[in-house]
Amino acid sequence: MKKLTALLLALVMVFALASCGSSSAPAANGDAAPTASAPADAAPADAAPAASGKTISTDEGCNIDLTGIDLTGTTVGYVTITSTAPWGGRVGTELERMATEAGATVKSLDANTVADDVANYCRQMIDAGVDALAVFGGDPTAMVDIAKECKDAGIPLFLTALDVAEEGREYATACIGPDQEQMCYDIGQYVIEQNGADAGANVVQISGVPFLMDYQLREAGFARAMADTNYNLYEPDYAFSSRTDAKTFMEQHIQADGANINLVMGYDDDLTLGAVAAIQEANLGDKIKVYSLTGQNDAIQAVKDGQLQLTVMNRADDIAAETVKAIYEVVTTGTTNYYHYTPLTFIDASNVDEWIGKGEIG
Amino acid sequence: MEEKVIANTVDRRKQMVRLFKDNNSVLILILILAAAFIVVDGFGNGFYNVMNYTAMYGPVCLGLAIVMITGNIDLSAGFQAGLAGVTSVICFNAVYRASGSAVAALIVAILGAVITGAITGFINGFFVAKIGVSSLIATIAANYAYQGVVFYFAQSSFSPDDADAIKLIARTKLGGMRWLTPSLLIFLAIVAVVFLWMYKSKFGNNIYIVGDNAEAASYAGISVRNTVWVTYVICGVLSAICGFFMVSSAGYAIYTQGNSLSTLTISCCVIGGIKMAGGKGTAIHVLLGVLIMRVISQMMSAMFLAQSYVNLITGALLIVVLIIDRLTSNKATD
Repeated sequence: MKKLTALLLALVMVFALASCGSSSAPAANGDAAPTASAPADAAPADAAPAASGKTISTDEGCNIDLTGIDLTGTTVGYVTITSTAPWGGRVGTELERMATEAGATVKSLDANTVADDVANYCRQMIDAGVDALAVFGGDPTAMVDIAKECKDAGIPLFLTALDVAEEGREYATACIGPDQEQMCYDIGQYVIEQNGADAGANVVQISGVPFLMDYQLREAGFARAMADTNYNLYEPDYAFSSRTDAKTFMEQHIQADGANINLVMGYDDDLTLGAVAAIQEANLGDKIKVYSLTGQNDAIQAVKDGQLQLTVMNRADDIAAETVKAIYEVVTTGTTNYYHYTPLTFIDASNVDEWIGKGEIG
Repeated sequence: MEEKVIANTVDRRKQMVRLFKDNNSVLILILILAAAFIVVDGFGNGFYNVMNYTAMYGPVCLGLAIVMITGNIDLSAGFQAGLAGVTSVICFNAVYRASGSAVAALIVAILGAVITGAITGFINGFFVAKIGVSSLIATIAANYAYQGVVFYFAQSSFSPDDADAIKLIARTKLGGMRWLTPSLLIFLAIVAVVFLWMYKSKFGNNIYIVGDNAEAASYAGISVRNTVWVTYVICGVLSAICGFFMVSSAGYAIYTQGNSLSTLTISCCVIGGIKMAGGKGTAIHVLLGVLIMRVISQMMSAMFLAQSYVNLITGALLIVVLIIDRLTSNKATD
């Protein structure tokens, strides 16, 4: 009886997995997914653009126009370092949705924060013969090999909110997202404008994932802006995707050096709001000014409430839409610009009323 | 005479049943592989991933299994591997810059990793075997400490000066076959050596006796403390080999390389048939466990399943396998 039950369980396990396989990744439009890889410089045979394109819905506030986009017959691979972080997750869900609405078949894999798996999954996409590969997150150095392998396989590589290390740029097709370094340089200039270059402020930095290039560039841009001031930048604290950890870091700073902290620079609203919570609990809201970016709804509300001086809206759906647009350009014309910078909106007390409820997530 | 023949036949049948019960992971692997190749599109294309990952994570799983057979646990194996990976890159760069020889740098990198593993294993063994701290608590604490060191050196990717040289071990395709790498051959050799050592040597037997009943082992004159201590050193060395393979596969070290290994290694060991309570399991069981986990993982990624399903299925499969293990286990041996 026991042996029979064990065998039954083993069979259930195998067939459950098998049934998952047969129901996964259906073609959005009912077409069978193409299996052959398409070269980067040639459109798939059945991917000729329709004159009018597909209807792709976008949220209010999305700045990218997707009129005329049609990816019918194109298989898009998407590999992400994580789908659970709020902003990064939204880049993925929007990209998958928009590409699917554009007629593409989307295959996606989540590396669940393991940097090595990003490279591994990219290779799996190459093996699967996708027509275009989009990658979110990952390590810039690791992406060099992937860019070369994509080039060899004739698969265009689109880096969303990520750039490859310099030696890999000739092999990648496009890098999509804001100019992260310049964005934080501009935030630094805003901080200087508000406080003066000689304020001698002590600045706590709350950052996210240290190996992700977007965070590295953001920190570099802010540091560049601060180079000619007498501000004292504390070493960044890395809260990864955890608002709770960000709050804990801020509490530790307050306990250790609360009287001397003047500013907080947060490199992601979701994390910055953890620091804001710690500041509010310590009743230091009047003393410590907080600056941030990404433009989440609750961060915009915090600007309205005077808890945050600034957030810069760096819309995830803009990046997703621009990626879909770049893929379409390559599929139809065989080429696109390497850098696709997405627009940014600075939101502070002067314009916050226009943006309440128009941000993303949060 | 006739009764003797019947008795022999019954004994042989019992032996066969016992053999099946002790090795049900073989059946599970065969079933899963059959399902993978027959039903999952693209599984064959990605099969090299199964072998590459088995070679990469196999050594650390084997190290943990040896500790588990003594009835202990090592939750720091992941970051022991990560730390050894970082050390190997530091050693590689130091020698390469001094001598310009990639071969010398590679040899020193491997030695550096192995020595690091031996040291971290020795430290773990000291706290568990000598001081008597619970292995769970001691290795959780050690994991944090090793993670801190790795994070200090490799917040972002930390590359060797000649990445192509360091990739030779895990990325060279022998005979042009993507799945056959030097790292796989090294791992299989380690499995064979450990298997024979644990079955044939006195010390190997002592490990099982300690895991089965530490008190009885002590009465039998076996030094339980030394036995446990040595298993931690072996675990450290095998974790270090895994760490070097990870660097060799990626071409760089990064702190996340040890991140997910603690739970993965335990899953591989348990699925393979290593008993959490100790006293049972072989290197072959570990090999099977790693293969099963990698086949399942590769099946799910070949199906492009969402991460939520991946986590759900992995957890469910682990429970199912544990139930199968429980139902087919011989009470007398448990």
